[in-house]
Amino acid sequence: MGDLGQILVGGITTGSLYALFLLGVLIVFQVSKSINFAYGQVGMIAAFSAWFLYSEQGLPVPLALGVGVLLAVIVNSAIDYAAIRRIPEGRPGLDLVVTLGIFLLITAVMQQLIDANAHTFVSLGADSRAELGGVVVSLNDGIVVGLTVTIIVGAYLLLNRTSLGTSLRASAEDAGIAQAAGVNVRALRTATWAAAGVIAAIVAVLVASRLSVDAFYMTPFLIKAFIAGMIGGLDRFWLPLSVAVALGVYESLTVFILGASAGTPAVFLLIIVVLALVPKRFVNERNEVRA
Amino acid sequence: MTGATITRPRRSAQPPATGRGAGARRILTRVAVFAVIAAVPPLLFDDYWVFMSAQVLAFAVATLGLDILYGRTGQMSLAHASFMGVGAYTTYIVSSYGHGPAIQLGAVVVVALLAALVVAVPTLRLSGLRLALVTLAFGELLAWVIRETTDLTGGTQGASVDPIVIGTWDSSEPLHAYLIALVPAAIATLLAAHLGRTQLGRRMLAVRDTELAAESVGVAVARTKITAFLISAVYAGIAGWLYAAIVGFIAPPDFDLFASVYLFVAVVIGGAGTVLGAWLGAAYIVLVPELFTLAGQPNLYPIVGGALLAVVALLVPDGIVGLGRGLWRRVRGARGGQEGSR
Repeated sequence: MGDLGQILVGGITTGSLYALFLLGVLIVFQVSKSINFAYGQVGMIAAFSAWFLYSEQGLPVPLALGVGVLLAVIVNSAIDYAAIRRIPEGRPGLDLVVTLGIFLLITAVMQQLIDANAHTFVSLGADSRAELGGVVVSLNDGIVVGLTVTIIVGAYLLLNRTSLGTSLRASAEDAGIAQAAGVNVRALRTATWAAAGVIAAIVAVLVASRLSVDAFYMTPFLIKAFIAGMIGGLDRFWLPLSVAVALGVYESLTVFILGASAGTPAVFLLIIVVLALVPKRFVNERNEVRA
Repeated sequence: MTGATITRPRRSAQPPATGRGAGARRILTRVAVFAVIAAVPPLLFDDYWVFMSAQVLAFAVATLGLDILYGRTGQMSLAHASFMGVGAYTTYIVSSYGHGPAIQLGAVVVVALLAALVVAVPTLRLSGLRLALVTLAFGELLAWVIRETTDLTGGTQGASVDPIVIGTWDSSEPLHAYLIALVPAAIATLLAAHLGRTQLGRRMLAVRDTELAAESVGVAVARTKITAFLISAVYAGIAGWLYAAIVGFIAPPDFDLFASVYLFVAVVIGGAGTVLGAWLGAAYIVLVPELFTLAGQPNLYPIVGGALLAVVALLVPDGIVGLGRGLWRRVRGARGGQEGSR
């Protein structure tokens, strides 16, 4: 039972990270109807440059992390401003192509600026552990789950209980009408992309503190979060986020039952089975914009 | 007769053939140009550049395949290089049992088709976005399979592949490799060019341009997408077969996500939706990294590739081919104007 508890803790923490990351994908998709394939790399910029600043340049860790988050915000907003907004009407799917280019660009630039190796990141409490009912929990696990719950609930309340949230949802629904009704759609959109940059940075820093940091480490993470979004639907809120947590637990369980190398094929099998079996009505986005 | 009722809204504005003779003449001209260009490397280049040209042929099969999927059907695959890997590793395994090129090719086609069916059938009845994401996961899966089966595939260290031997020809000789690869590349080109004239090709364009309208006139959208995906996977598999035979060594990084992105860059830069664009893309993907290496700046290639993909996709949607066509039209227009004023 202790083993299973341990697996659940591991799965829920990983799943929380998927969910938090997915939250950034969801808000961007809902406000600008586009997918940012370079989103994981935006987070990578934050963590990798923070590592570079504190480890190679001797900056204090909090300052380095702050600079990293700021960089992620700037880059994510720049992606929207310089690329996504310039996609002409009637070219569905171009967002993915353009951000794929940005994905490659960011990876190559960071590799060139820093290096291509993996480095240990500040542990952020991953090594201070406590035992709770036979299950070992680290401070880092607590930070991850706590931050995820706080940010997701905060986002939900912001979207559904404030007038700012109403404006956001209005511009997500129909930007033209919202604009006509006096909502500053452009400012909201910029704010959303900036907020998504912060979320990507937080997740990337947390992931780096649990694994290590290099120019590529966020890609498998991005894939898992996208998969959860794909199964749960990108225009919903709670369902995709729950799927993300469930995906983390599922992954841990398969690793526990079938061995350390079973994670990748198990996730692939899961999406194929889910997409094959679940009724089309359920898995399709209601407002699918692309062809 | 479903596809025939749909007009092709963008960039497919083929001038109506003025008669059977004009059409035949145009095809003959194209074949002649292809033959002349194909004759250049063996006649003028040294061994090393013949070897590079042979690689261009292999990658042309891959980009032609990706173009059928992306350029014509509008579906995005992030695992095209992985399907090349499926072909290359199938070749390696089959040839290590001592089987010749015919059996290798058969096995490559079968395995690529099976892998593509698994990815495409559950995915493509849904939206194109999902295909992109599932192919992403497929790439991870292939990397995992190679990593986990070191005895069979050589694992992360890579593996040496036996050359294709047909009679006295041996693909470890650059010239022979070039000539061996020329045949499948030419057939792949002919088929891809012919596809545009078939009902299936028109259905693909319809699905790309407006899925809803295509469906409303009776095009089986999901089936068309799945067919396009299967064709593109077989093209990629054959490209992997050629690549393995020409280069003689394969390793997981040749077929990872970045390799797939580079193939994408190639198709978009060349000009999506055209056979010529796919060929330009293949030349780009082989020769440009080589040029950067020669210039002593190999690290610039991914940076330039990423920037080019974003910029070209945004600003020059029809790639080099589109630029060339625009220029040609302007030159002709200017000439026409002068004639008119006279």
